[in-house]
Amino acid sequence: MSDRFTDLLSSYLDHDLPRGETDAVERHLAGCAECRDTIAALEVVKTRAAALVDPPAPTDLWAGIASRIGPAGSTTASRWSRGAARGAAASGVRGLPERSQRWAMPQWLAAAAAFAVVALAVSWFAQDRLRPVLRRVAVGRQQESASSNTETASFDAARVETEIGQIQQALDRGHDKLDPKTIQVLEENLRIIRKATEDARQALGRDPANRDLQDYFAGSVQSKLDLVRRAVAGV
Amino acid sequence: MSASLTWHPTLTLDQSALPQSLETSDAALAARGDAQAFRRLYEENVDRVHALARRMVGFEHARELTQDVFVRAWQKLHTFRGEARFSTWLHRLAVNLILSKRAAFATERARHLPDDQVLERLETRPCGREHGMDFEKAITRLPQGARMVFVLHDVEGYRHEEIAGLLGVTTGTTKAQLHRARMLLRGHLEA
Repeated sequence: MSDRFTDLLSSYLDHDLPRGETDAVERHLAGCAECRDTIAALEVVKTRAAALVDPPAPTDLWAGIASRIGPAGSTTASRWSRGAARGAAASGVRGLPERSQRWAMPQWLAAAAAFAVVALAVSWFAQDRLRPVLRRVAVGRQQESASSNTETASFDAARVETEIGQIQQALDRGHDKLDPKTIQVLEENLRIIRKATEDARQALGRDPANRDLQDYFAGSVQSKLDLVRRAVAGV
Repeated sequence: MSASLTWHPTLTLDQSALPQSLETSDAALAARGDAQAFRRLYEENVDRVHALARRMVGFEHARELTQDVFVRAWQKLHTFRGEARFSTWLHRLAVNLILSKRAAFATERARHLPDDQVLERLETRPCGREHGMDFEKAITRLPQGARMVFVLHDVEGYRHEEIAGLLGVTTGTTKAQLHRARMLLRGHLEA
């Protein structure tokens, strides 16, 4: 075994050597069983590292975070429900101190575009394909509903349709002032929300007692509607 | 059922895109002050952040550091532009925070674990289900410089150029540290 070559084995393993050194290492490996054993062992280490699974974090970390990010953080697990959030948003009252959150137009468009995919997700859920994802999303929500039954949101397709109409009217009023591409993006999002809402209505028609479904549609559709409404107001 | 669903003439939803879309949506909500959305982002990412902290600075500091990362993320969310995934942004923030505190951790660690005696202290080679956990323990007992590079390169997939930039060293140094780490861990696996 040669120290000179041993020091190159990791880089050789990572295909991180210049051509000339790669050739030299390969010539050496052909005649050195010890270096071949070493590189095999290094490969095992590398493979083991890449295959490591993240073990679960302690389950009590959030409380310490919530106490440091402000009052709303500490109420997140108990009283901060989708219904409360929607009410607060509608009244202009937020559960956390306002931060610098005035978005430039490109960010609004990015958010609107992001919503397009989320709205599709709602549709997808309507076909019973979102449940595994929602289990994760619902972690916090389960705790809320357990302690705050009076604030549980419910999905109201008619109200969503009314709000879409109002946003469309606002968009129409600003039609002359907006870039056609902006209008196109926002109108496309409204169309997708409308489609997602119809899918949600049908899904709830098949499973009207499903509170998780109700909460998800209420929260998701409403928050995206808020997003588009703010985008329209912002432009 | 097919892996993707198309119901719009120009938009196709791939199943793999769904968690990202929810993540993007929650990041936008959290940036506007929605603590509930931030809680969901926390739930999705806490295992990875905690594991990163544990591997880089040890279990005894991972708890505090993980909380620091999420508090910092909350404070910095307005700088998240959505150009990368939120989880990617958070991970980079976590790495930077951990590295910024590494000097303090190194001082404390040196009092308990002399640098070059690290792997000799490990138990004999384990087997079965405990093997993976013991490999984790071996990583945390690497010398600090080697451990940082090993975790970032072999576990987290960073390139040498990125690691060198984060640590303020040359790629020659990171390559040497990576090799040292692998050789020490090889010795442990063969023990």
